[in-house]
Formats: sequence, C-alpha cells, structure tokens
Amino acid sequence: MNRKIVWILFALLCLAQWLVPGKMIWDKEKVIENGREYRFIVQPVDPTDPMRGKYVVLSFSPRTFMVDGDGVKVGDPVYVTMYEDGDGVSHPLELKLERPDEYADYFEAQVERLNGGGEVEIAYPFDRFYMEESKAPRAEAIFRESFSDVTQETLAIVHILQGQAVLKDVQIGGVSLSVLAED
Amino acid sequence: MLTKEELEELVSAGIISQEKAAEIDAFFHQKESERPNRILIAFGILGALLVGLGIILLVAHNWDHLSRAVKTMIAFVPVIISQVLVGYALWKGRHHRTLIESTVVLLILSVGACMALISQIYNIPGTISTFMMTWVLLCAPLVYIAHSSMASLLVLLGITYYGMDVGYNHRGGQLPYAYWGILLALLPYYWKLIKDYPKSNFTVFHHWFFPGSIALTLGVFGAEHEFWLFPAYMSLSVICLVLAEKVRGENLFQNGYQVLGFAGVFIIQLLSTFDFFWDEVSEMDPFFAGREFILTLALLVISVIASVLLLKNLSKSGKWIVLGFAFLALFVFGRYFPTTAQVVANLALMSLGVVYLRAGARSGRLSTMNLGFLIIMAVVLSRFFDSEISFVLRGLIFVTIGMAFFGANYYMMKRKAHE
Repeated sequence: MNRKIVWILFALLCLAQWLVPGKMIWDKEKVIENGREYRFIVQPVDPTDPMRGKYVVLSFSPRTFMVDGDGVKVGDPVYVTMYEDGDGVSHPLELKLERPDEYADYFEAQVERLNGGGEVEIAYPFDRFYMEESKAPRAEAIFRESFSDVTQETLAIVHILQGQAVLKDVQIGGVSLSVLAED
Repeated sequence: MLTKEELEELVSAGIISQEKAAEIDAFFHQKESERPNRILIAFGILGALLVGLGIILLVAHNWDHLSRAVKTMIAFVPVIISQVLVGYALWKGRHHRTLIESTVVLLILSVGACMALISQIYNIPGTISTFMMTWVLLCAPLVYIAHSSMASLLVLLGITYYGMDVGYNHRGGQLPYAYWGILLALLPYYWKLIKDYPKSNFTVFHHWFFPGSIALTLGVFGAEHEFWLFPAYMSLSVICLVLAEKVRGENLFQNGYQVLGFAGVFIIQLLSTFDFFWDEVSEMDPFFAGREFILTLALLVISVIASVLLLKNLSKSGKWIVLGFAFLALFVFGRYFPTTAQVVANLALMSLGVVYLRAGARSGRLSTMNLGFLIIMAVVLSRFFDSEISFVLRGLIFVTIGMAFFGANYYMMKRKAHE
C-alpha cells in the first residue's frame, strides 16, 4: 500500500476512534442537559444478586405489558409511556410499538422476552448503576436494607429526552447511593 | 545454517568453490538479519497486553470522586497516546514488527477501555455483543493499515465472541451476519500471511484461530433441524483435513487444521456409534429440510471441490477424509435404516483402529499403534454406555484389551531395543 494512503487511512481511523466514543458521550450529555428529570420507584431485587461486579442491578415494575398485534420480536425497540403521580414519581403506563409524538412522556426500551398471548417482557434502558469498587459492598448492603424500610423510597433519577434515557443517580430517602456508601 | 568450518570443509573437499562458499555464507547472514527477533516480538506484545489490560482494570475501578468531565477526558488519554505510538511505529516502517505489533495491541485495548469507561459514566446497560462489535469495527482496519497480525488475531477473538453471543443467545438467537462479513474481510490478510510468511508464528496462530473460530460459530445455524449440524461439522472437519495437507507444519502444533480436523471426524464418528444418535436421525421429519440442511449441502460442495483441487494423493489424513465422506452418506442411509447404520458406524471406527494398529505394528511406531488402541478402546467404552452387557463380561473385555495394550507395547519396545 502506498505510504500516503496508509497515513490517510490511519488518520481517518484515529478520527473514528475519537468520534464514535465522542458521539456516545454527546448523545448522553444532550439527554442530561436538555432532558426532563423523572423519578422511578426501584423495586426490590433478588437479594442474592443485586450487585454484579461494580454495578447495582435495578428492577422496575411492571416488566410485562400487553400489546396488540403480532410481529414483535425479541430485541425490537418499543416505547413505554408514563404518567406522574402527585408526589412527582413517574410510573410506566402503556407499551407502544410506534414512537409517540415528541411531546409525550415516554422512553425507548427493548423487548427482552415474549411470554405468549400478547404479553411482552421489556428490558428497562436504565437498569444498571455503576459504583466505585471500594463502595460496592457497602452500597449493596444499604441497597438491600432500603427495601425493608417502608418509610424510605428508593428512586432512580433518570433524564429523558425524546425517548432516550440516561440514569443519573439512585437515591434512597433523597440521598444518593454513592454518598450513602461513602461513610 | 552451515558453520564456517563446515563450509571450509566442503571447499577443501572440492564439493563447492570458494566463491560459492562465500555466497552461501552471505545468503545465511542476510536471512538472519531479515528475520525479526521472535523473543523480542513476543515480549513486546506481552508488555503491551499487560499495560493495556492494566489500563482496563484501572478504568474498572470506576473513580466516583472524579467529575463526569474529568472521567470523560481521562477515557481518551490512553487512546491518544496509543495512536501517537502506532503513528510512530508506522513512520519507522513496516519491518519494525515488534514496535508495530505491540503498539497496535495497546491501541486496541485502549479503545476498549475508553468505550467501557463511557458506558460506566453514563450507566449504559447495552449488550456485550453491541459493545464488542463497535470495538471490533473501530480496530479492524488496523489489520490492513498497520499489517498487524495481532490486530487480526484480536479481531478474530472479538468477532467469535460476538458471533457466539448473538447466535447462541437463549432469548432466541439470530444469525450473526456481521461475523461472517468481518471473517471474509480478514481472509485476504490471512492469505498474504500464508504466502509471505508460511513459517511465521503468527501464521501458525492463524491456522488455529481461523478454523477454531468457524467451528465455534457454526453451531449458531442450529434451529429446528439441529441434527443436520453433525454432517455440517463433519464436512467442516473434512475441509480442515484437506487444507491441512496444504499447510503442512513441522509438527502437529503448527497445523491447527489437522488437529481440529482429526478431532472433528473422530468425535462425530464416535457419537454416531451410539443408538440415541440414530434414534434421533430416524425420527427427523421432514428429513431434507431446514437451514442446517442447506448449510450441510454448501459445506459438502466446498469439501468436494477442495478435495478435488487440493488433494494430489491420499496421504496421512486420507483415511480420515474417506471416513468423513462415508459418514455423510451413512447419515442419509441411517434415516431409513438406523440399526444397520449404527452397526456400520461401529465397524468403520473399529476398522480404522485396526488399520492404525496394524500399521503401527508393522512399522514399529509405538505412537501409531497406540492411536489404534485408543480408537478401539473408545468404541468399546462407548458401547458400555448403551448396552445391557453384564458387568462380568464388561470387566473381562476391559482386562483383555488392557492386557493386549500392555503386551503389544512391551513387545514393540523389546523389538526396538533388540534392533
């Protein structure tokens, strides 16, 4: 290969190696900056495995929805609409196969499993909260205890812009899990 | 390589002239200086791997007290440094293999670390296969830009992981088309390696990685007619054995095709000696159906063409190739006559064992003879699983074969010592 071409190709590759991760950052930053903040109640998870490696696995309800029409496949994008209750907490409402108009409150999710009879199980796009490894064991204990304490709610703070969601924080009684795990 | 003394000896004996001796000496010197230092390359790559993996581990710590902006910037530091290093290696020239291979490894791992860090910062759940494919696509061009064998091997690892994750996913696997696309894209590089550096370690590794990757991923075609995968894998094994004739390493380790081909034929042939195998085959309805059947046909056509074009004479693997093709015919036959097919499969493998046993005994090669014993023992052992033979009889058969094994080895060693 001509030396000049090699250099041009290499420069293009380097550029791609900045741009692709850069685009990931850009997309997420846009959602954090311009997206609306929603709060979701985190459900208790299987106590033996809330923490995988360095992240907390979050579980939300409901996981299953009924849909009309066939042709939904595992891995397909679906759209979950939501409503906000009087306490400012959001709850998933319906599953839609078509993207709602941009003013609607919704987020994009993926079909994880088909249970038959029109029942679809989805994967929430914000079900992982990464922790610093030194804090992980403490966070796990706090996270577990929080579910037995009925006075405190565990909330996922999620920014959403045009269906794209970014999990910003997990709070127990209004305090971030990473702060709680610090002491 | 000849030493100076040996050359002088040849000159004084009048076998070669003084000029010829000087030419030979110069030729070997030239060759020596062109050959890159293998140890240096190995250590260079090892060092780069350690540093790169170290960076990934540092990233995995997930530094909470750093702000998002700082973490994001840190993600790019290893990438930029590695890019500069690869650029420097390219500037120095292609023959600096150590520098190129080690900096490329560093760059590939840095790109992975960068993407992993971004996933952490923004809590991106994403599947591992999407992550892997993005990573591979961002690094695959290095194979051709830097002529890097390490890049090629790492990309092969990456797409194999991707192909298996997508294809064997229990939530309803899909065919990993991207896997085949990238595998094809790597072929020209592999071909160039074989032509330019047939003896290089990198080429030897490719001889393992290429067929290994295909063997691991072929099973993703399994759907409703999974049993057709056995003939498909058998055809793949035959193709491996035919290619092994062309590769011809100095020892078995250097010829991944041969080892994988032997293993494939042997394992499938052994499975076909069991009755459950033919029970399943006879129940296949419809028989000639499914994408697995089409896959088998395609591989069969390739194996026939490869045999016709590449096999000049039936060599060492000849018996195995014949056995492989025979199995394919037997598979169709067994759909209608399962019991006969099982008997034939048993006899075929036993005969192969006997052939090796005889050949070994005649030539006095212990390894060949013991291979024959091993094949026979494998068949006998397998029969014990699905037959109602009494323990006494089983015990007696084992003792007999064991004694024959010891006896034959002892006799052969004696004979050798005597000679």
